[in-house]
Amino acid sequence: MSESLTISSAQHRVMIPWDAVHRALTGAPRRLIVRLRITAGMLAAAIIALAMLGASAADAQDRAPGQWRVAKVQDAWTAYTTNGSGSVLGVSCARTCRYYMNDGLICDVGGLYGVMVAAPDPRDLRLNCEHVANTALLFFNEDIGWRLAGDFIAFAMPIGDARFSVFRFSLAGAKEAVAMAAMRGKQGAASASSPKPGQGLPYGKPIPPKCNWNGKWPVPKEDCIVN
Amino acid sequence: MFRMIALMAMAAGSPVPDQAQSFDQWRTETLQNGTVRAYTQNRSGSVFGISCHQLCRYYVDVSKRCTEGDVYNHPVSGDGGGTEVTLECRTQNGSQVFSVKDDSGMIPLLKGSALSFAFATESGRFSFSRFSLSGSRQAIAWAIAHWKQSKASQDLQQGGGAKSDGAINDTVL
Repeated sequence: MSESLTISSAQHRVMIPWDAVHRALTGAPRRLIVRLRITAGMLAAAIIALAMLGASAADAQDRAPGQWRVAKVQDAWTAYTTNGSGSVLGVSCARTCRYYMNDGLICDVGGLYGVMVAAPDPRDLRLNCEHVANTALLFFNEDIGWRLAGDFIAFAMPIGDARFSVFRFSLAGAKEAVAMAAMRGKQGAASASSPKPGQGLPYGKPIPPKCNWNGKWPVPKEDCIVN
Repeated sequence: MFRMIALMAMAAGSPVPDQAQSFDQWRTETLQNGTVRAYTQNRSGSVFGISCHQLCRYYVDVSKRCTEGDVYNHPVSGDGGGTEVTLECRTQNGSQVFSVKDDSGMIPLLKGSALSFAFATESGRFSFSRFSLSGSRQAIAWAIAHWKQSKASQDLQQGGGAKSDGAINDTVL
């Protein structure tokens, strides 16, 4: 079972539970796959998939981008937001909190990735890829909570072809949402049987169901592009 | 007129190109202070290249102010993917540049056709500097070979036969 609530200082207030988001996302066009070491074939697939972003942006509008929400999924409380491209930035809290990002790209389980975060204190951050609840999540290796202070936070990630993807998230309502997730996560942890880190995490775009993902590269692109 | 400019530049401590060659999008030159370098300049005027004096080091010059000696980690994106490099703010031939401290992760990306660096701006956005690598292999090989040659003759003149302390060897390519 899941429950959700919305925290936002934006104009739109939308209540979206985890399973509804999941349904919405599973029907949306998806971007594909980028990894630090990318093959030529996969690169072509990524270019095609990136071209589909325009269509997915329309879906993102319905989900009120820029708002932070808090949702409970199984034993973990998460605070998260989506941007106009459908990328997700969130924090999952059980006994401890872990920040994550889902950029809609498939990552290599156990792989180490890097993004540059802009102000304050711009620098490179490391992320680890985990597949949770059929989503490819990038978990930050450090607490980025103190960075959620301005209006926006932006990340730049190298995606091959001498290019970067830039992810920009609104921080309106972030502090309150994260504090609530952390508090409820701790409260819930006391009675939870054995919460697993990241268990039941939303979000973002799930790995395409037709993708024959086996955790190895290369992924057969014809099986992983879903229109 | 050129001679006058050259004399003025020398008086100001600026290096004056001694020899210059072009390899597609890359250029090489030997400066009067003995520095040999191979570099490319993009349309924005930013420069990426390798500079060999006491050592050979890759550098990127994006006309960005930095604090001498500060070290930054920056993501780099190439044809084959991305990596992270450690950049150090240094003054090189009179201008502030980011010198690549550890190029091991970047070397594989130099086999591609282009390379991009990301820099965060004060407004919380990013700027990207993209450089062509077309001609880079020949230019870098030329620079390293000439630097080694020059260093060997300097060592001979000093009665040395001293071993080169260059950080870059032939495996760089």
